[in-house]
Parts: sequence; structure tokens; C-alpha cells
Amino acid sequence: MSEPVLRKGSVRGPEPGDAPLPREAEAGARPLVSVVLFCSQREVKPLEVFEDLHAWLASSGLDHQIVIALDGDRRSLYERFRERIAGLDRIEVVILNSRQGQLATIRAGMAVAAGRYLVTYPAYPQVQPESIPTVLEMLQKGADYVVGYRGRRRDSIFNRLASRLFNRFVRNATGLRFRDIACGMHGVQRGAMVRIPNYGDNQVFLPILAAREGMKVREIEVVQNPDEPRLRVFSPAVYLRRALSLVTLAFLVRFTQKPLRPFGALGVAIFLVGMVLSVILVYQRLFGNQPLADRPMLLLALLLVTAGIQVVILGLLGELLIYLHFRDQATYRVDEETGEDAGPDGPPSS
Amino acid sequence: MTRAPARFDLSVVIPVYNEEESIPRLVEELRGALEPLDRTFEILLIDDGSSDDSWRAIRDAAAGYAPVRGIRLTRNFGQTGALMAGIDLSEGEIVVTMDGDLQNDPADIPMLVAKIEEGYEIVTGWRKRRQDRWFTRKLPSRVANWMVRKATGVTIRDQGCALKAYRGRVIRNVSLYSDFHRFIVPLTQMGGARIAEVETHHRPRRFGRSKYGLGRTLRVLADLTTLLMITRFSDRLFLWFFLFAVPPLLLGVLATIWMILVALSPYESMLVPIGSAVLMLQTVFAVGAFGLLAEKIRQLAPLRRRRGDRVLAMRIDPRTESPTALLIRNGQATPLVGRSGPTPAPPGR
Repeated sequence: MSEPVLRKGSVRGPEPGDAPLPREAEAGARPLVSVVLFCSQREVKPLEVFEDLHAWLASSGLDHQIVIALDGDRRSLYERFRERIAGLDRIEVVILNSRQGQLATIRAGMAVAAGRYLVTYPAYPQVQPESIPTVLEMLQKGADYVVGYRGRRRDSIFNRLASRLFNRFVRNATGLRFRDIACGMHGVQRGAMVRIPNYGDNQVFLPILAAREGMKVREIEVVQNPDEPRLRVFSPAVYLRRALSLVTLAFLVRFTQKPLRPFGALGVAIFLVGMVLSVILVYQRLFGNQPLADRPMLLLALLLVTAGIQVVILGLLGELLIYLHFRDQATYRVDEETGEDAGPDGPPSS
Repeated sequence: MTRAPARFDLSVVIPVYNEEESIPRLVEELRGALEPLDRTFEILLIDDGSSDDSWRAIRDAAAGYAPVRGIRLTRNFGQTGALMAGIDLSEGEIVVTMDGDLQNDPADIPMLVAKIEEGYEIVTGWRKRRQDRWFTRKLPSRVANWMVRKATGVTIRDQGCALKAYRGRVIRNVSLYSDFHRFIVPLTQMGGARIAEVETHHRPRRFGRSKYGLGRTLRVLADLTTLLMITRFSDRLFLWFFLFAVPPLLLGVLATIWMILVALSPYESMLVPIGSAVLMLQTVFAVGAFGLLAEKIRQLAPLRRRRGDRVLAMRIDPRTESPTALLIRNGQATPLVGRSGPTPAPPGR
């Protein structure tokens, strides 16, 4: 079992006094697990992946359901699924009307899923269905969100480098340490999913926002699919899009509580550079006998001074917004209390 | 937020982060200090996502001594979050906060409680003989205290002492976020709380490691600027932002004079003086516009965040001349002392 992935991060949670997460509130006729097979943008052997998943689930005896979630630009894929799933029960299909991206597709799949635990499963060869029980077990032990990582990766050096770069970036930006942010196999408690704010365009936003909400996010090793191509190169637009979502994410997680800290530091730095330049120019005018009025450097110095002031003020406006609205986001979440509930011996994660 | 009447006379709120060795001793000392007081009390130990066995120590303490209540947060939320959790969940008429590292002495609590019962709403500890390193701990703290005093006008000597006592109804109405626990006194004081300061003991750290360092000073400076805006200027934001426009305004006037002088002399180029004047005066307008934007933002904010949202007052009965301390919130007055709900309307109306 892995360490909690949370290292540090900003403080957010539900309104204080909120009830703990409804973990298994609505049991009844629900299947134990809904596997959300999502397909957005990347499409490699989706039917084969479905076959594997379905065959494995059927033979495993798990109380399950498969939700096929297709993004708008993958609607034609349904034609290929239709014959295959005719006559099968425990299958749901949801197709977005237009292209909305990976996260929206996953969310749509989860919205129609009935299971008590939700597991996402990419519709391209990446992971093996044998890992589903591992993820489930972790959820049943009390984790709110489980992120898979592919242990012992078989990959080209290029993919490993790219992946390491993105993981490192996420760690620096959010303070959360994920081993494999590109792994599409995640598990989440039904009740926890409702609480994760709808934000972002990439699946990696989910665990990060969950952690920020104070949920228990854990990481677990899953089995890599041997059919996963060793070298996967995408168009530059894909990398750019990923990088931009990460910048958004960094801003979302890092600077939201105290905008004056980064903006103030930046603004003061710009201001000081401008001041130093101005002092040099004035000194040269007074003692170096250099004229001031025909030196464009003076304009640069003044520009820096005024820009610095304005950056600081933007930070202050941010502070004001947060002060006036922060109550929507409380600052802690209670996990357990002594005396209220005996509970299992010790926390599940240690 | 309407709350049930206080269940205890006293709540002691202690955020705990990796203090497993200190907890048994801490609880023992609290027991020795609180039991002779002859008041009902609870001890809240808030485990702020410790990575050591603090939670086990807290559960053992709760199992062994009934007034102890342990609360565990889902992860490390920082001292502000832990403190808020404890304060929100406390049910005492008086709330005492302290650190879990044994540097505060529980034997000081009765003194703080007595001060509250004298009629103060906040009592802060003052670590007169502080047992810490001078350069990394005491000096930054001195500077920070001085700046907080200047910025907020709250004249207490030691903002950083975690040992404080509050009237429960006052502190449960203050919400803090992200590191604002350092400024809990000025934020509470916004409503007009009466503050007393008492000298407390401070002991050298016995177990574990200090969780502070020198690097936080810059962050404190930024936070302090925010605090200044919130406590002093939140009902005149345009003025506050305009303060930032004063230097460019002065420079702009100078640049204009210079421009005129240059225009009168035939030898020098006009471009740079004109540019300087325009740039400076434009900044004045931009900053003024930011100020107006700020006013608009405040106007659209929920009522509860405005200044004057919580006001502490004193009602004096003219016949007996006995004062009653009141908290006025949303147009409703609640007495601060005693276990009743909102005050009944005065007779004859």
C-alpha cells in the first residue's frame, strides 16, 4: 500500500460542520462497481479493450456494470460497439453531443453509472482489468479517491522522459506527488465524486481537486497492458494542451488563497528594478553631467515603477475577492473523532 | 450560524502536528491545571494530519480521560485549519487555545480564564522570558509584532503566543483562512473586543522540532498588507487604493513641470519628458480605476463579510446600571456571557 500522495497544498474543504462524506449511503440495488470505459481523442483498439474488460469482469464474479462513455468526436465508435453489446446486460452507454474533452466524458460516464464505487478505464490498451480489485480494495478500506500508476513500465525513453517531466511539473506546481499522472485507471467513491468541483479539462484535475477538498487520495500500483505501444508520440498540440492545463492547475491550487504573496513579490521586484534604474539616471544627470531628457532609459525605468505598483494592486484585488468570498470554501475537513464511533483499529492507510 | 447554548464552562483547543511524545504529558498537565478550577471543561486535541503516531496517542488520551476529545483532519491543513476545526467544534463558554508542544504552560490557563471572567473578550499570553533562539525566532517575531501593531493599531506585545483565551461567542464568529491564525487578535478586534494581556511562562522545546523558520517573514509581510486592508480600509477601499497612486501622482506633477521647463529651453528633446508625464498620470488613473473596481467587488460581496458585520457592544440597564456585553450580528443582539440564546427585547416595546 502506498503512502498518502498528499504532501502539501492549499487548504480547502467543505463548510465546517458538514456531515462526513456519504460513503455507502444509497446502497440498495446498486452494483458494487461501475467501470467507466471512456474514449476521448485517443482511440486505439477500443473494441479489443472492451472485450478484455468484459470477459474479465464476467469471469471475476464481481457485482459490476460497464459504462461506455464516448466524447462527441468519437460518436462513430458507437456503431462498432452496437453489435457487440447487443443482448448484453449490465452495460450503459453515454455519448456526448459535441466534443467536450476527456474530463467531461469521464464525468458524463460517472453521472449515469450506478455503482457504489466508480473506476475509470481508458478505451486504449494501457492497464489490465486484473487491477480493478486492487483499486476496489483500497476504496473499501476508506480511501475517497485512488490513482493508479503503472509499475515497472515498459516504455520508450521518450515516453518515460515526457511522463517524468509532467509528473515533476505537477509535483512542483501543486505539491502533490503522483507517480504517473497519465494513468487512466482511477477509482472513486460515489459520494466523493459528487464533491469534487467541476473544473479543468484533464483527468488529472480530479485527484488534485479531491485532495484540495480534503479527501483521502491514495496511489496504488496497477498492471500495465502488454499491448500498450512502447513509443507513443502525439501531435505537438496535445503536449501544448497538457502543459496549459497544468499551468491552470498550478494557478488554481497554489495562488488562490494568498494572491498577494506571488503578485506582491513580483510587483515589488519590478518596482525595485525601476527605482534602481531611475536613481542611476538621476545620479548621472546630477553628478555625471549627462542630460536626462533625451534618454529613453528613463521611460523604461518609470514604466517598471508603475508596472510594479499595478502588479501589487492586482494581488490586493485578488486578496479582497478571496476575503469577501472565502466562506464558500472552508479550511478543514474532519476525518474522525474519538468517542463518536469506535471504528476500525487505526487508520486504514498506516 | 445559530449555536446551541454552551455545554461547558471551558474548552481547551490544541492543534497537534507530530507531537506524539508530548501528548500524554500535556494531558496530564492540563488535568492538574483544570481540575482544581471547579468548572466543567473539555480538551480538544486536533490532529492536523500528523505523519507520526500522534493520533494513536490522542485516542489513548481520550480513552483514559473523559474530557479529552480527539479530532482528526483528513490531511495536514496547517495551523489555521486545525485551529478553526477546534474552535468550530468546541462547546465551551470560554475557549482557550494553545500549542501542543509543551512550550506553553497549562498552569497559566486559570489566570487567563480569570481575566475573561473579569469581562475581557480576548486574553493573550505574553511570553516575557521566551525560551527560543534569538536570531531565528525572537528577532523575526519582534519585527512582526511591531509591524502588526503599526498596521492594525492593536497594541499587544506578543501576537505570536499561541496561549490565548476568548469568550466563546466572540471567537466562534470569526472565520480564518490560510495562515490568518497569526492575526487572530486583530481580526477579532475588528468588532471591538476588549483585549487583556497577561504574562505567561514559556518553556524550551522538549520534544520534536520547531515548525517555523526565518523564511516566513516575507509571506507575513504580504499577509500583513492584506490585514491592513481588511481591518483598516475595508469600508474605504477607494482611499486605500488611492494611497498607491500618490507616488505616481507626485512624480507625474514633477514630470509635467519638467516638461514645461524643457519646452521653454531650446536645447533639449521633448520626447522623454512628455513620455514620463503621460506614463505617471496614466498610472494614477489606472490605480484609481482599480480602487473603484474594489469598491464594486465589496458592494457585491455577501453582507456577512462587510465591516460592521459583527460588533461588540455594551448594554447598560439605567436602573441598576449593570452592563451586559452584547454581540450584534445581522441586527440581532446576543449576550456574550451566560448560556441563554438571543436577548429578549427590552420591556415596554
